[in-house]
Amino acid sequence: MKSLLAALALLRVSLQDLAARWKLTLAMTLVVALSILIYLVVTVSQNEIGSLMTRVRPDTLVVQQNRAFGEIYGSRLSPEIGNQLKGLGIPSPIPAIHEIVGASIGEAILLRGVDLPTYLNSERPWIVAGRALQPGDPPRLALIGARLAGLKRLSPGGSISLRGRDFQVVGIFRLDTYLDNEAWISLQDAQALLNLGKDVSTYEIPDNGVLQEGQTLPGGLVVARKGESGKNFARQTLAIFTYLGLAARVMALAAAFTLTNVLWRLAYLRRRSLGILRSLGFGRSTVGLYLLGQAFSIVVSGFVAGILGFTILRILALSTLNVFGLSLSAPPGPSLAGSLAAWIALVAVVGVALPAFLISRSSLAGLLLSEP
Amino acid sequence: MNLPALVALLLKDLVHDASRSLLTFFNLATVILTFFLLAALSQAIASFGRQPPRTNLLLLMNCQAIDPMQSYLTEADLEPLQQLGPAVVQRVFPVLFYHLRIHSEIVQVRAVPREEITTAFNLTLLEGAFPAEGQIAVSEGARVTYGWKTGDRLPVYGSEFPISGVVRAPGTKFISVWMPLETARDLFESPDHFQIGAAVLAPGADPQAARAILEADPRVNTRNSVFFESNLTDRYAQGMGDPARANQLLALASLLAVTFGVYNTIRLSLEERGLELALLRVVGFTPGQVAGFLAARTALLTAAAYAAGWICAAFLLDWFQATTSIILYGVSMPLEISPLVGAGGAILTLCFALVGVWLSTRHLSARPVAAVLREERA
Repeated sequence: MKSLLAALALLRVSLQDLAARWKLTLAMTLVVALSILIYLVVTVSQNEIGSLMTRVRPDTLVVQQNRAFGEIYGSRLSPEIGNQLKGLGIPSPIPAIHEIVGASIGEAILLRGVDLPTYLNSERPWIVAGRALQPGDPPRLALIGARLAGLKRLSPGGSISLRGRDFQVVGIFRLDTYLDNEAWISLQDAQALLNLGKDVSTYEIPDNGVLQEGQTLPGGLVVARKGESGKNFARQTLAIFTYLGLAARVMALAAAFTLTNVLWRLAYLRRRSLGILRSLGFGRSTVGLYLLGQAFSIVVSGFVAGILGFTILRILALSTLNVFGLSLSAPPGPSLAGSLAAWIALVAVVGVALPAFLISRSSLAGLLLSEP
Repeated sequence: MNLPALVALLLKDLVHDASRSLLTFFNLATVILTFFLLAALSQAIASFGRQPPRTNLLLLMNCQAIDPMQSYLTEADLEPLQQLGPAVVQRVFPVLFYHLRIHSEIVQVRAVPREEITTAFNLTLLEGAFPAEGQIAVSEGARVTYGWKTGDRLPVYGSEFPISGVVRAPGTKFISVWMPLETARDLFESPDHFQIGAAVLAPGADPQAARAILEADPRVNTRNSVFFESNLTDRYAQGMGDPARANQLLALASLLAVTFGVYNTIRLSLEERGLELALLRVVGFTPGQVAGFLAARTALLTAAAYAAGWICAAFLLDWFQATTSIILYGVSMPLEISPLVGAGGAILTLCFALVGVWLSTRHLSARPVAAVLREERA
C-alpha cells in the first residue's frame, strides 16, 4: 500500500514536470500524433483494400474471358455461352455485366448490369435505404452501394449520371466488399448503355463439380472462383500500401527517437531530484516509473490527437478519395485498435528504455552532486 | 566572426555535447528518412505511365474507355485516319491491347502487324529475334521483373507461346508482351475488332493539325478520341491522382515533425545550457547572434541528418525494390529520389527546422542576462 502511494506520488511529480513544460509536451504530443496519423492513413487504406478485394466466394464460380479483371471490366461473352453452360447441365447461369465508367478515371464508377429475376440469388445485399431493383421495374433505375452513395452524397430519389445518362437511385445497399462501390442497373439498361447488344461480361455458376476452378473453355474462356478478379485488382495496389507501411514504421521509429530525446533530457534536468528520491529509499525502478508516466501521458495524448486528426481527415478528404473507382472511407475497425495499442506501447517502451538505462546507471553520489 | 571559425565553434560545441547531438541527429534523420520514402512514392506516382513525348504516332480509341482494353473499334473506325491522305498519314494499322494474367502477374499484351513492331513503336531488340507467327517477345521490364527470357514458353490466354526475344520499349517502364497481329487475332478470336487504331504520321506533317482535323470529324468525336502515344497511359495516372495528392500531404506532414523535433531540442538546450548561453551574451553576443548561433548549429545538424536520411532512403529503396515491385496495369513504378526532390526537400527541411528555431528562441531577447544568470545560480 505504502509503495503504491509512493508510486502514485512519483507519477504525480512526473506529470507535474510535463505540465510545467507544457510547450515541450505539446510539441512532443504533436510528433506522436503525426506519426499515428500517418500510420492510420496507411493501415486503414491497406486493410480496406485488402479486406474489400480479397473476399473470395468458395461456393461460386464465374465464367469469363481469360483476362485479368473479368468481374470488374474487360470481359465480353455472347449469349450462346449461357446456352452452352445450360447444355453442360448448369440449369441457371446468372449473367452480369461489369464495367468501369466515368468521364475520366479520376471519376470512375464501377458499373454492374444485373439480371433482375436472378441477381438476388447471386448477391444478398443489405438494403440500407430505399428498395432493391425488382423484375418489371421501368428502365433507368439504379441500386447503388453505400460507399458510392457516400462518395457522391446520394440518397434514394436522387440521380446518378452513368455515361452521360441519368439514372434514378431507388435504393442503397451494403455488402461490406468492394461491391459497395458499384452502381447496379438492369442488364438491359447496361447492354444499351454500353452498346453490347445481347452480350454480357460473366456468367455465375454454382461450384457443383460440373466445371472446375481454373478450367479453360473454348473461345478463350476461363472458370474462376468468384471474387478472384477483385483479388487480382487488389494485388496491384497492395505493394504500394506495403511500401507505405514501411514509411509508417520508420515514422514510428522517428517518434520513438523524439520521445527518447526529450525524456532523456527531461530526466537529465531532474537528475538531482531523482537522486534525492533514491536517497530516500526509492529503488532504481523509480526512474523507470518516472519516465513511463511521462511517456504514456505523451503517447496517449498523441494517440487521441492522432485519432482526432485522422477523423477530421477522413471526413474532409478520405471520404472523397477515389482510386480507380474505389473509395476508402471506412472508419478504423476493432482489429486496428489492437495493432495501434501495440504500436504506441512499443513507441513508449523504446522511448523510455535508453533514458531509464542511462539515468539508473548513474551512481547515487553522482546524481546528488550534479548541478541542479 | 568568419565562417571557418563559426563552423569550427559549432563542431566543437556539437562534439562537446555529443550524446544529445547524436540523439537529435538520429531523431531528425529518421524523420527525414520518412519524408524521402513518402516523396519517392509521390514522385513515382507523378511520373507513373509517363512516356517520352512522341508526336509521330496518333492513336484512336473509344472515348468512354478508361482502360484501352475496354475500347472496341472496327475497320470502319479507321477510315477517318486513312482519309487524311498520304501527305499526312503514312500508314494506319490496328492494335490489340489486353491486360492478361500470365503466371499470376498482370501484364500488358500488345499485338501489332509484324512490320510495325520495329518502326511504329520504336522497339529495340536486346536479344533473340522479333516475334514471328506463333511467337512472342517480352519487354526488358518483364525480363528484369519476372525473369522471363528468350526460349521460355509463356501461357497467354490459354495457349503456350515461345519467347523469341527481349525488346526495349521507350522508357523501359513497361512490362509488356508483344505478338504479331495475326497470331493475336487467332488467339483472341477477334478477326474484325481491335482496341486501338494507330496512324504513323508522314515526315513533315503537323501532328497537332492532324489531331485537330480528326477531333472535328463527327465520325470520330461522337464515340472516339485521338491522342498521342505518350498519352496512352495518362489515364492510369489520372486514376492515381487522389492517392498522389494524399501522399504529398503525408510527406509534408512528416516534415512538420522536423519543426517540432527542433523546437524540442532547442527549448531543452536553452534550459540545459542557460548559463553558457547567458555567458555568450555577457561577452558581447546579442540575443539575435545567440539565436543565429543556435540556428547555425541546427542547420549543421539538420544538414548532416538530411544527408544520412537520403543515404538510408536510397539503401531502403534498393532493398524494397529488390524484394517487391510496384506494378500497376503492367506499368512499373520505380521508386527513386530525383535531384529535384533532394534539393527541394533540403530547402523545405531547412525552412521547417528554422521555424522550429524561431519558435523556441523568439522570446530570448525578452529575458535580461542578469535574470538568466540569477536563475542559473539559484
